[in-house]
Amino acid sequence: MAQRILIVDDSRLTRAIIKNALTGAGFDVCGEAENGREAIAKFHELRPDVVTMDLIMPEVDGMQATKEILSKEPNARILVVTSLGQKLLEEDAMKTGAKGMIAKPFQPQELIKAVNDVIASRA
Amino acid sequence: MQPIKLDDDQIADLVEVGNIGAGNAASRLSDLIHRRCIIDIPEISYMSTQEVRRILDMENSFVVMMHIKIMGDIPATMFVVLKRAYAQTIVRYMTNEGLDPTGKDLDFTAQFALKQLGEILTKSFFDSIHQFLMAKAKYSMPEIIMDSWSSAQESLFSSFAGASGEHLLIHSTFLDPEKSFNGKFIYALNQDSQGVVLNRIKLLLGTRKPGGVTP
Repeated sequence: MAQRILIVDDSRLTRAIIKNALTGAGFDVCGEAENGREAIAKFHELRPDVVTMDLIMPEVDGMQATKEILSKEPNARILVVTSLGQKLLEEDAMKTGAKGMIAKPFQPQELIKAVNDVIASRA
Repeated sequence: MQPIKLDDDQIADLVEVGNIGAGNAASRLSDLIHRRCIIDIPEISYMSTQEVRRILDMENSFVVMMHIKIMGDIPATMFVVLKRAYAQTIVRYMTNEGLDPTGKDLDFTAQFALKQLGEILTKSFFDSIHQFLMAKAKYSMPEIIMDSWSSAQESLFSSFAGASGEHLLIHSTFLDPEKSFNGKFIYALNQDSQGVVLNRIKLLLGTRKPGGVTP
């Protein structure tokens, strides 16, 4: 059964590109969200295997959404996908409980590997 | 030439292009100074005197402005603008030296450091955008201006002489979350370049190229 992915990003362009890459690799994109608030609601509704989470978003940002999701569901698997690919923020994301981080721009293969690594971290 | 009319999706897509550039430049700065550097969500404006004044809001300040021209598939102009006090702070982080107690001029070392920084930040900004859009670019050496805001504005506007209203500005604030500095990235595209960027975005939305770079 295909792993189910929730894509969270305020950019419809990035959501489309992530969706194309992951569906092409056999993942099931079960939902999309445009901001952290929607991400929290859709996570609880859809119960995805992995969430790809942007950081800079309106209303509720990705770091806050990650914290809120993990506070209710500590086993949630969140991969941060951000243009802010800096070491200190990566450390912050991992301390918050994200399972990985990948910086934009990336190649499709890099994204797929990052998602697979997050899934493998469940084992 | 009539300005390109952008719909909401196109505006959002250009914002994402700006986000990728600004986020990468901010991250390069972060790694250089070992402090977090984040950005606000970029905004889109059309070039005008009023709009630049609104975006930058640097009245009565002394500023440092770095200016670079990009040639290649997507010709563009970029400015990095910050108040001189914030430039001094960043130099201090870069060099691990104490602040000039007079708080006045940036000395030769500081000016050199800022020129290097300007080159690093603008290159990081453009490299990430050009990777994303699968485009080629060549860079000029950045020009650095350290002056009152009114003088710096003259230099900025002279870059767009005769083209006001046709340039699109994608601008974003970069900042230390602990509020020790902030500044602005401004990415300016003429109409031809706007068209190239929008066409590249259509390609990204419509195709998957094996080995191609996506966001």
